[in-house]
Amino acid sequence: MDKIRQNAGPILYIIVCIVSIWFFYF
Amino acid sequence: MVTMLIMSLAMPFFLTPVMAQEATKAATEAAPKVEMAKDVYFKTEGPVSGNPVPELKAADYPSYNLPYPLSENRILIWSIAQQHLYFGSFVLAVPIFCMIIELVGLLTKDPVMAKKYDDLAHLLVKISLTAYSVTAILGGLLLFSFITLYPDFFKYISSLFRPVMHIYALLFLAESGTLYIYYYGWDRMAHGFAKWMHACLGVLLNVFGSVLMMLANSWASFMMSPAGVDEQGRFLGNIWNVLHNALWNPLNVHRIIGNMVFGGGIVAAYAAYKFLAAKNMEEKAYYDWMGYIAMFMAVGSLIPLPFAGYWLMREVYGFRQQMGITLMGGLLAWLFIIQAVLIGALFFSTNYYLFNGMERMRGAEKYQKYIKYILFLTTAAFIVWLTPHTLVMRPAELKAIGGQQHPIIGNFGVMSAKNGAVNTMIMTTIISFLLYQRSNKIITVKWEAWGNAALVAMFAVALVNNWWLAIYGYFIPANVRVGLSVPQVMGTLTTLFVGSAINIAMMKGSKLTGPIEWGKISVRSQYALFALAVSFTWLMALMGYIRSSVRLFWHVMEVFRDTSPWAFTHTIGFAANVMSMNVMAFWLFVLFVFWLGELTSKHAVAEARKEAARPVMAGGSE
Repeated sequence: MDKIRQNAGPILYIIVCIVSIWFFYF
Repeated sequence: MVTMLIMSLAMPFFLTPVMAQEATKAATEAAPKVEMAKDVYFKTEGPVSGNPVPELKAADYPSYNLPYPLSENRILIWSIAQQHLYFGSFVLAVPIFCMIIELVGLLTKDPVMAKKYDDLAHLLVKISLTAYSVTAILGGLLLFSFITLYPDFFKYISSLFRPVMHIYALLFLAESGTLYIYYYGWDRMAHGFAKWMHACLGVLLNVFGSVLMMLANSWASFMMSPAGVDEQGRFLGNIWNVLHNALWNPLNVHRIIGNMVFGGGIVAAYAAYKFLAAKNMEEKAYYDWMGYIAMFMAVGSLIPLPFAGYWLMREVYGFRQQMGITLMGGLLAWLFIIQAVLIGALFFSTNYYLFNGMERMRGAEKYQKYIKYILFLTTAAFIVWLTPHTLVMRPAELKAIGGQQHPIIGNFGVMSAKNGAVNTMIMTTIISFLLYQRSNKIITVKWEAWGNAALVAMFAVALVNNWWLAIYGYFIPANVRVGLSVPQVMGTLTTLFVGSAINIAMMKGSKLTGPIEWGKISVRSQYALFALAVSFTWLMALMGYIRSSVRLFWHVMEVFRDTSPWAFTHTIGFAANVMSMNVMAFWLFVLFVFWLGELTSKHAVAEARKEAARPVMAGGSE
């Protein structure tokens, strides 16, 4: 759990990227 | 959050295909008297849901009583649209760079370099802010020009694209909101999780920007390759089909990559301008570095751009063969020769800049002896690349030459040879780049000889394969020959990716002959950056004209006839002059924007100096 909290930033960034790519898949 | 808002607003407009089919099915069951018609492109049946295109007369085009050529509405629209597109292209490209550079900064371990990248990304957004408002103003001007100069055409297009146009306007709200938070929140969101949030905003900004562009592209591609309407231009109830017309995606891909080359070119020109105006070595070093990064981005995008362009042309041929022939082998063929010269100029100025850039490094001397061979190969390929094929001749000339094609010279300037030539030019540029990267390093890996042998062998095989296919293409029919571009491209891309990988592996643990001495570069190299940027601006004007004028006397290809008094195609000379005027106007505009940036930064520097020089009170808290 701590590991996730430490890397919350990069995880959020990757999620935003995946959602964006899914959106274009428009 | 904003995305969710936009999505929920957009959903009622954009029914997905399945939902749309169900809706039309339900509609037909409820009211069986609805007239059905056939889609011109998808060939599906749909309920007639709009008016047919209007039958216009010459008098339906209100024009100003200005001296020729301003009396032609299309000249006004052409110029305003061109300026709007230049600035729009720039403000779409800059966030892409910011997103990449900010991420590079986040992933860089060295804190000094990380800060340097982050500051560069911040500076780029600052440059684009002025351009953003200029784009919006030009967009407003373009909209009013459409409404006042082409009222009937615009009424038809806006009735067809009604939801798309509304979403387009709403996306502006989302984009400018995101841009302002992104720019003004930069310092506040500088650390930890907030910094990653900030990087996410950069991604979101690009999503909004790209969707904006794709929606606008659908209007232009609909005019070239209509879909979702019947033969009379009546809307068939499915906006999804209108949006997904034949040339939409090829145009999207080509424009995104083109935007990046263009944006990189403008930023490189900005850096060159600042380099030439720099007062001390420190400033010179900074702007030299910035120009190099911008050039790197531009050329990195320039390498895949011809392939995207080739795909777009293939799709044009696929949609209507006659359109492709008009472009490449008919009325507009000589404009493609001008295009070849400009593309050659891009590759020459890139190579020239890289050769000059070697001067920043001690130890580059051992590679400078190869420059003349690279230049020779590039020049030879360039000559093949710009050789014309289709000549416009009088009957007497036709007779003298022995038909449309001379028995010997008629073999020159065909696409098979040109594909070989452009791939050669791309590969020589890649070689320049690999040598540049090595210039300040002494390779220490044990397998150095093998690595070099592998690189030489790979380029030799790729080049010979490329030339052999270019010759082989002469002996096979055209429909098979088109497929040869695939192995040629594969060869070029292999040298790019595998060559870079081998080169990077070889440079691991290498001894530096000294750091890169940024700022120690000739003034001439900075003019090469200007040449790169101006050539690309010119190229965009040229190809934009080609893309529009290929419709000939149609507003919407084969659906909506252009019956204005000026529905003829301009002469090449006249069109070239309008393009050049547009390029000049744009660069004057850009220099004004650069100068504005100079004004604010001078003020900031003066303030900082005043602050530093302020006497400190004895015993004061400061």
